[in-house]
Amino acid sequence: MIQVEQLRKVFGDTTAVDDLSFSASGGEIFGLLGPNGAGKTTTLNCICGLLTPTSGRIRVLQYDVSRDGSAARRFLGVVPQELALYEDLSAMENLQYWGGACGMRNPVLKTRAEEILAAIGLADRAKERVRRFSGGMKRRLNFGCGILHSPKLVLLDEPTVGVDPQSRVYLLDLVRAQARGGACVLYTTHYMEEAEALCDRLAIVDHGRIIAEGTVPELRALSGERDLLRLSGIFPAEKVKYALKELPELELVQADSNGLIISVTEAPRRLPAIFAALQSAEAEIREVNLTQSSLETLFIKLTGKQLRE
Amino acid sequence: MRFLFGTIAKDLRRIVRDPVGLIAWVIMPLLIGGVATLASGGSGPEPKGTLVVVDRDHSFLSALMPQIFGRPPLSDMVQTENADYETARKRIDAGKASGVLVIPEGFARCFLRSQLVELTLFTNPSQRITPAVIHEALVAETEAAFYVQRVAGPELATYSGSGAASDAELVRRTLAMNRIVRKASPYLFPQLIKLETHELDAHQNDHRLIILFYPGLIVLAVFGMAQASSEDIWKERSLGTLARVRATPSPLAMFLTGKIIALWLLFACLGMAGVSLAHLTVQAPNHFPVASVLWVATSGVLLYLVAVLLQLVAAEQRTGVILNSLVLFVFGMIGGTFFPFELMPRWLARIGEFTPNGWTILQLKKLLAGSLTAGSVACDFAVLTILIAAGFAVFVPLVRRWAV
Repeated sequence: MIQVEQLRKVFGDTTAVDDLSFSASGGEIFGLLGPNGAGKTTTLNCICGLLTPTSGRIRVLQYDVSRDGSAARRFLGVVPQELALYEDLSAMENLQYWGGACGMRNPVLKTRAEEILAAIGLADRAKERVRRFSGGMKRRLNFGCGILHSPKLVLLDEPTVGVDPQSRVYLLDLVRAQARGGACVLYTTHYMEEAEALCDRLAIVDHGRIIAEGTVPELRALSGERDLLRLSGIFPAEKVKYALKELPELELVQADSNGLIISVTEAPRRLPAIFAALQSAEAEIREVNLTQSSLETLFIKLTGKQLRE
Repeated sequence: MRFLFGTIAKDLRRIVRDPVGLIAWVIMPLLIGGVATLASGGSGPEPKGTLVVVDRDHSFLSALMPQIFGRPPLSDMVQTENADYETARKRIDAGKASGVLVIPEGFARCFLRSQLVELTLFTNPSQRITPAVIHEALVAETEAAFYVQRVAGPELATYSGSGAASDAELVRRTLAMNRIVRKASPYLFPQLIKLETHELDAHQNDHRLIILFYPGLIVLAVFGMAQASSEDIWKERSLGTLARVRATPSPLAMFLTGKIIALWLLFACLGMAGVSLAHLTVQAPNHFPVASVLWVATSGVLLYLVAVLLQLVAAEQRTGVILNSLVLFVFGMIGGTFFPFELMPRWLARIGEFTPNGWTILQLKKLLAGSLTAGSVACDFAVLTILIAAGFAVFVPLVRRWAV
């Protein structure tokens, strides 16, 4: 359904996307997981033709986006990060306008808009102006406008940012429904839990590059089923490194004078030994945080930083 | 095409549902128009004044002088009264007369003998329009009289000589006068007077402030609305709707065309309201109403393109608004929008006529006054269309790059 090959996008001196390649097929939810500024939105903008890639190739179905963007866009449904809605128009008017922009005609358009309004839980507020909607309702409508024309490829750019739990559940169910309907969903997020719960396959992106790719179990395996131990306090770096070196199945991910990040198996059981080693290194521990194996541990292991940094 | 119509409907709905910014641009010209009307005396469509004639000659010719005010449209504006000098001065001092015309003794004799004769006109300083009308009418009349005197002076002079003429002499004078009258008919006959009166009518209109102001006020409203509408491009960008349009299969050019057509319709409504209001309330001339409305609407699109291109070159919305305010202020001041060209120094008016709004006003005035031929109207519209097409050709790619 979609093939991205060696995509590169440069803005002046900044390389936003660097040699990024992936592919996804119909019925699949493919996630791009990464912190803000990782290049996820730039990648989506290149796919939907808003940006011209510096190099690389993007194919949507049989269409090359650079050469035949207009044809490719007929099969795309874009749900942007912004609430791209007209607040002076009603929910129904917004749906009809964006449906018209995607080439839909009445009476199919009207029927489909009514279906979408029901699906996003806004049927009873169809004639109300969007200005009066809550943030969550606007998000749902924003989503509805993107999927109204039953696209084969749905691009979702962090669609749950700032959404209340009820709307989030709604939205995630709608995303799953799209995939069940045979659409390929490309989903960007920096919420790991969401990515883990939703995506069939994931690519972890940082600094415009894919640093890991696979299904959620595959990625978990990459992290080595290790837990992550974060310590803050005062740590004489050299002494700490020497002391921890003696402990088996332990990796020092990050170390500075104010904090440590340690990747370790069976962390709860081994805490006393770790504390003893740090005590011998004259470290002063003030705070301890233990995170059990997850995508976040993998991300931290691969990049040395947290996903939300 | 459905997307085009959808975009027009969408933008018209948005304008109607959030009209505050645009309404301000309708209120402002109305306020200026109101102030101008008050400043010009707050009168109705035709100022009515009194000219007191002090006829010290009591001749046939002196009696003819005030009769120029006896025909429309001057008779609608000026009524004449005869009085002695003292009474006339009292009336003008009391503000009950717009002017006093003193025709000296020996006026007819001097005129017929080609001698210099001086009429004296006292005007009321507290009034502006009617005294000016009287002045201009009399200037025109004395000029006409001058030409009559130049053409037929020798023959006229014979009538002032003493002694009865023989029959043969009478026939000769009559034939000579007939020839002269035929030659001088453009100066003598009512058709000519009518022509001069027409000139006076145009001049009188120039002095009726609201009529001077209103084409500029219509363009001010359109200019202001165009500028306010140009800010919408920032709104579309920050909302993400501009980017969303680009992510659909519909062309961006069609989206922007839809926006412009919606504005064109808005400007057309405004032009129609402005031209009709001026015509109905102050009997402002309106010779080509449809062409005038089309001109207002289409030139509004040009003003919008100027404004929106300034928005696009600005780094941020605030800069765009400042740039546009600057253009509106400067072009408005010199381009006949706030002050009519007729009240400006000629050199400044000539500069102002080259601003987009100045050119718009100038052509609108000509259309309203009916002083353009169909060919020149078509030519003006062609120039306007070319300018709009050029602006649009720059606008679309700029928005394409600017949208993300």
